[in-house]
Amino acid sequence: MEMLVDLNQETQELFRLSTRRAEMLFQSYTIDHQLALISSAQTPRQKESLYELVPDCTELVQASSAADILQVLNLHLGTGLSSVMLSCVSAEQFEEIMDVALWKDGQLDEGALDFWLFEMMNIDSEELAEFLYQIDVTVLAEMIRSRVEIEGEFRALQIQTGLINPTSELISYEDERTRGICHAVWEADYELFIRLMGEIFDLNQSDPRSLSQRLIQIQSEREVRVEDRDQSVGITVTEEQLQQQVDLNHLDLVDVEPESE
Amino acid sequence: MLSQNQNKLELLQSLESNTGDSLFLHRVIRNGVLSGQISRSLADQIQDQVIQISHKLIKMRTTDFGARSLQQAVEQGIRFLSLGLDYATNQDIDKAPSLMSKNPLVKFFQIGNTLITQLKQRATKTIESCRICPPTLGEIPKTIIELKPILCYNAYESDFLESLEEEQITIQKAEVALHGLQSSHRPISHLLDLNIANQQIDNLFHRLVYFRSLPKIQLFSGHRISDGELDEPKRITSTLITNLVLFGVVDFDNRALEKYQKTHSSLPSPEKRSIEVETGIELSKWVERLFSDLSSPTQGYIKQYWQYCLHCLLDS
Repeated sequence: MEMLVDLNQETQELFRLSTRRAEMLFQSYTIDHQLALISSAQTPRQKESLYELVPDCTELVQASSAADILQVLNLHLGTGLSSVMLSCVSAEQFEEIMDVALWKDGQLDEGALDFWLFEMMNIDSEELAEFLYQIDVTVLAEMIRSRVEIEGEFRALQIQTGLINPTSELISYEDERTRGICHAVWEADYELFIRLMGEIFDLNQSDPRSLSQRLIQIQSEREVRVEDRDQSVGITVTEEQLQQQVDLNHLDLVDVEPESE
Repeated sequence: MLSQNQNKLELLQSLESNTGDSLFLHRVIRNGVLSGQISRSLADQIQDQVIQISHKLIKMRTTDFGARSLQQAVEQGIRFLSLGLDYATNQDIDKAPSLMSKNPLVKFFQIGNTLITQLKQRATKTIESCRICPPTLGEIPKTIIELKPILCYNAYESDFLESLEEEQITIQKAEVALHGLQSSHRPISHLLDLNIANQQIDNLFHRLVYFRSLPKIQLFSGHRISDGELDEPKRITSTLITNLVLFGVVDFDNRALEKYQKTHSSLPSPEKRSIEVETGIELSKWVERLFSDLSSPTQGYIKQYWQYCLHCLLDS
């Protein structure tokens, strides 16, 4: 949408008003104009302040671009405060956010996953289940694989028959965060918890692929999703292109002088 | 991630003012628009592709999505593009518009990315390999008291190499040895920066070859623990050259160094300069005699390095 007004200036003027008047004015705008103001805001903090001008920002958040939401979510990531906004996003937006936030240079960023799962622990368990379904169980398992242990000879049997729960004495956690994540997964969906344990201890016999094969598969599925989204907004440059190294001695460039008439 | 309503030209302009000097890409666009080599439609295409590359880089590389990270990702995209174009055109500003119109801009980004990646890898390799490891257990005589490797680069050169790993350059030109701290780091943005960095690394590899050709047991026998020493290669070389000048032997005994300093420290400056010239000639002959099996560029480097060490020795 072409804008003839200076959106940035308009945002600044909005912030100069009293909170009550700013809220009234912002709420009088169409949702398209509200979104345009949010997108053009210079900093994530300003974007967040604009979302706060409506009593319930769920509709606004769900109409926003994942990029705008991600910038605001990152303001409080790791503190638990992002969960308020996170609970407003749709499952599709969440998947898009995860496709950006959990990957760095095409590789899974385990540190980021840890942060995000911690943030998600504070979400209502029903909503959490919706979000967890958007993250592949192999990716979830990757993050806590080395931080959870189940004692005993019949570990496989206990997991497969569902005799294990996060409070079992047989389970030990390396840290409280891992314990919290396992509890949250259990409360959101106990079957997912069993699958997660099965994945961590390599019991998912229905999937004969090795862990590295499964991760490659997840990686390529994510690349396809990212490219589809990019193409829908006219972006043709791909991550693969940006990562590609070239032979500096044989540059593959078109360098033909135009023929003289 | 980039605001949909952001003025596209702002991207290029903001980077120019931040870095303080003009990127090759900026000069190409400015020159091309003025000369008519870059049409309005080509300028629009360039801006669109710069936006696309920056957008993808932000999604790929930033972790906190703060304003600073976003700016850094945009700057990185434009710098790599500019470097790649600089390299592909061999710094020919008039050739660039034609190449840009016939090739997708991402190709130049790939070239810039490859140049920087290779430089970073070279810096890492230098940090890891430019060192002389102590003799093996079987070779060690009782006189050896120091078993730490000898680094062939000094503290300032170490800082320089670490900065390269962060895509920053800290020097204005390559030198036989870096001395003193550089106050400003700047992002590697020009082909000239790459050439200077590579030349400095070449110098360090010449120094490694030189150190490797020294007698290892003697080197470690004479080597003394010196915590916090900023320039160990220079001290070792100064010890060697004073032993050569005073006693005509390859040795690393510190007493020669102390004696030489005591004799020369009180001399007036003009006399020191004249000694420097005379001794420099003598040392050149020693280099030819002791390192005749090394390549002539390495021999040339050793002569310069010895001259530098001698100069520092007389001035200390």
